[in-house]
Amino acid sequence: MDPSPRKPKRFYHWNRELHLYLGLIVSPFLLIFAVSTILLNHGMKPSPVESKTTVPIEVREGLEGEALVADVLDQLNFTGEVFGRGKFRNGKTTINISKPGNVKFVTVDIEKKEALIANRSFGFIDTLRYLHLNPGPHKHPTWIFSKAWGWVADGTVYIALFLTLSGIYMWTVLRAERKAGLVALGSGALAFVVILYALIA
Amino acid sequence: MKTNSAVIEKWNKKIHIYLGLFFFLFLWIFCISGLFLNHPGWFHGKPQRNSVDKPVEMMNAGDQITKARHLMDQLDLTGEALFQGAPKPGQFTFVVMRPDERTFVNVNLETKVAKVTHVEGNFGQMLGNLHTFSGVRPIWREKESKRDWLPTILWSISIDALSIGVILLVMSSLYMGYRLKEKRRSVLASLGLGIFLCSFFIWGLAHWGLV
Repeated sequence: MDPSPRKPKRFYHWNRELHLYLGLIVSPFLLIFAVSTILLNHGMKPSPVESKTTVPIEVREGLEGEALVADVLDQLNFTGEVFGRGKFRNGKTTINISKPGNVKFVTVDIEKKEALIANRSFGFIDTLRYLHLNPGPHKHPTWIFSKAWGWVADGTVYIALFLTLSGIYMWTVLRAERKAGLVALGSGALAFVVILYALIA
Repeated sequence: MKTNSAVIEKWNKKIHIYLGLFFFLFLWIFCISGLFLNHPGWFHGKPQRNSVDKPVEMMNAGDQITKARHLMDQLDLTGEALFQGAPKPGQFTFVVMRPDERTFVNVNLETKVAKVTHVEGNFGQMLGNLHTFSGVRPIWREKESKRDWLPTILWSISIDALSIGVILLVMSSLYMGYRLKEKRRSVLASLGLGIFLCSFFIWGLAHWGLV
């Protein structure tokens, strides 16, 4: 039995199935990145809805650093990606808690035993912008969902790379599209090389 | 004669193929550079920095960008000119940004000597800069962000074109998926999974009170 004619067919079939289903799973994520790219490319700044409230808070004497941050978050029942070392300066410390669509700045006043909470709520478009920029090169996520988003963003990239390669494989099989496809691939490559050369040469 | 839907299906498929092929390299560079931005530890090495002092001629008239371009011609520099923060008295300072390097120019207006500091990043940093090289980044702290270098304008147009291209690729793939009647359930299940995961991150974390 000669398996060679069957192998390419089977490979083509699985490649096509994976291209279809992985493409569909990843398509909403591609839309997030594509839409937010346009916003970022035009320097559009977020426009949050801001509000402030003050709440009483218990600060145990001598508590500072990460333990203080954890205690404050626990009392306020806040979760998210936390920035803030919990070090007091002039009796106050600020903790920043962010998650997609919401950022909170909590300023703890040890003397007054209260926390000023500045809440910024973001709309749909700004949330896309937030997701695009996170985790990014300057942050080391500690919140499990920030880490999860980082994995999802990486996964989107790997799948997008696979989709391009599997797409090219399927195109090479389509004889009718060969010439026009070569023109598209060639003109895209030429535009890319010319612009890149102008940028870095 | 072909029906309308057959014609749409044919052209939808063609558009999907041609767009995918045209944007192939653009997509790869943004994918790879995006990975490097998420994993800055993949490339080690500090940027290389060197400084030189050079005598220059300063224009008396003209706006900031005209003066900067005049200096860049003398110093043999090309790139996007940035003016960060407020001008300092007795000095004329700006940064020339390119994806592969940035050059800080600080002219002493009294002595007419420019201190020129080149900072050259590694390959990973260059990729990261390409990913974010829009010419109008708020992080650059320009009072008025404006693209003033032709390659920046072209790159920025490419970024928009790629984004629109990706949106069209997704839309055309959804149409192709919709037309596959025999696979409709599995198509809907895959798309539904993607939408559910996406919704969790967009709305779920902040508004659904799940975490």
